Amino acid sequence: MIFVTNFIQQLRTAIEDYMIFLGKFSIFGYESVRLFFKKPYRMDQLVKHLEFVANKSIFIICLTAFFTGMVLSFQIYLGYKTINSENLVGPTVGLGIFRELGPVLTGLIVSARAGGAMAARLGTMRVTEQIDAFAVMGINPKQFLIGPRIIAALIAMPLLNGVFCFVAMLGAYFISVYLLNLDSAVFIDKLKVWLNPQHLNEGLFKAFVFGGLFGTICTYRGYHTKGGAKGVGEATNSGVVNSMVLIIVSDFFLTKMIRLFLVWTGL
Amino acid sequence: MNAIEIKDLRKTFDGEKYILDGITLNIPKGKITVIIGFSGTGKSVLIKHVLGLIRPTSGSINVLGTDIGLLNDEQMIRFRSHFGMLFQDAALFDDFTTIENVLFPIQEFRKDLSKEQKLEIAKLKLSQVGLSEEHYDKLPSELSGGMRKRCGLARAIALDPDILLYDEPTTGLDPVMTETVDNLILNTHNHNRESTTVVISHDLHAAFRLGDHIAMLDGGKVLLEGNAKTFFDSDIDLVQKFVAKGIKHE
Repeated sequence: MIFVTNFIQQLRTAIEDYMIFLGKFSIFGYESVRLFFKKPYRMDQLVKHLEFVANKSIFIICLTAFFTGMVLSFQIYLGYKTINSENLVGPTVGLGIFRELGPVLTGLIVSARAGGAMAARLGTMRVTEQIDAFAVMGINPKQFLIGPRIIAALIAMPLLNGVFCFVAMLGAYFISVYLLNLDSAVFIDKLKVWLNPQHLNEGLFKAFVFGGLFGTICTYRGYHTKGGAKGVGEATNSGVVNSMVLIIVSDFFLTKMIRLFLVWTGL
Repeated sequence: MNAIEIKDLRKTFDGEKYILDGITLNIPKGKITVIIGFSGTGKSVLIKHVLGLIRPTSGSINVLGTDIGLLNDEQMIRFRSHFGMLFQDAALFDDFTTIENVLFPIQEFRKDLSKEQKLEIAKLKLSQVGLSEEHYDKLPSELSGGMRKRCGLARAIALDPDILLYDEPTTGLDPVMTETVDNLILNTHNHNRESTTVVISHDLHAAFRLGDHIAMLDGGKVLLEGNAKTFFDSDIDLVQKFVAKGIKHE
């Protein structure tokens, strides 16, 4: 009985702590984004961070996307072949990529690459008092350091998701047509029939939300780093891990919400 | 006239132990005030209150005639432009070069100046702290500890602040460099006698060399304040120990 009571107590504390974290990081994100739209505008910082988050992620996104498209096509082909439905490989891969795998994998890759770097950079700035130096100079560190990073993640993620989906479909087309000998015209025709802009929009919306999530979590963790090098390592680690978990968990709820929205609006 | 007036300042983080326990201290304008004390006596917490980085549990802080407790966060951020601060490890922006570090506050707050004028001021401040042109394009990681302090000081005085704060400026430096930094503090103050200088230190020798006014903290309170003579003449046990043992911790 005592064991059960202790377990419930610990669970309650853990949930409370997590809810407090969610609240704090939501306020932190809101405040930083709000400050970004106040003068003095930090457009130079936004461009700098966009270049880092988006441009420097393109290669790894393309590489991952191409192989994801290929392996997904191959596995689906193996399954569909048993029921003579190989013609549906293209649209099945397309739907999976555009609605789920595109935004989720883009989110995971970019949060690990750019989010981790954000947390580490800000953590280092915190422990070396550089963030305090901004504050003492009369410059709001959230406006200068955080807002542009979150906005950059929000802008970059849908763009990178678009690139991921396009390249993944190229990979799918390549393996289906050139290695599995499926008909090219059928592949494209089925895609046109099954896929519509709504599916792309769904993925872009998810990518946008994931960008906000990892941008806020990683900057929050970095900004609130305590201790020295150990603290920076912990901030980076928790920033990336929290981002990844939240991306996967929120993907489920986002999918349900989008379904409900579509039913509600009759789209 | 006082630049900073602290009245019955109390601060607790956990609701039980008071880090600052009723500090009342006046920091005179245009003078060098040195705040000394052993580690953990609340010196840094006090300075963070003066900068508005921490809000007090009770008490008031008046800086240049403004009760900073009445300012909201955004007003406080703007108000901090009255301050310049040299951090313990200089806190230079590590992806900026030396000249860019000094230029940064000028670019942020002196929009009225041309690019050339801003550069001129940055170079002037760097030469004032004795950093020659060959170091202008170096990153902080390429500078020695002393040079980083100089660059940090040049950045702190870039906008000719009303109040200049030094957080343990000589901690971890060898005796020669300590003397150099002390001289730098004196020269900087003499260069602008209007500004108020506050030095946080546990180096009593430096306090006697630099301070027009010295305050010693202990247990979250001001134990003694006055000039060097006040400290030498004091019969407070802890002060006598501090004077006798210098910077050494007990």
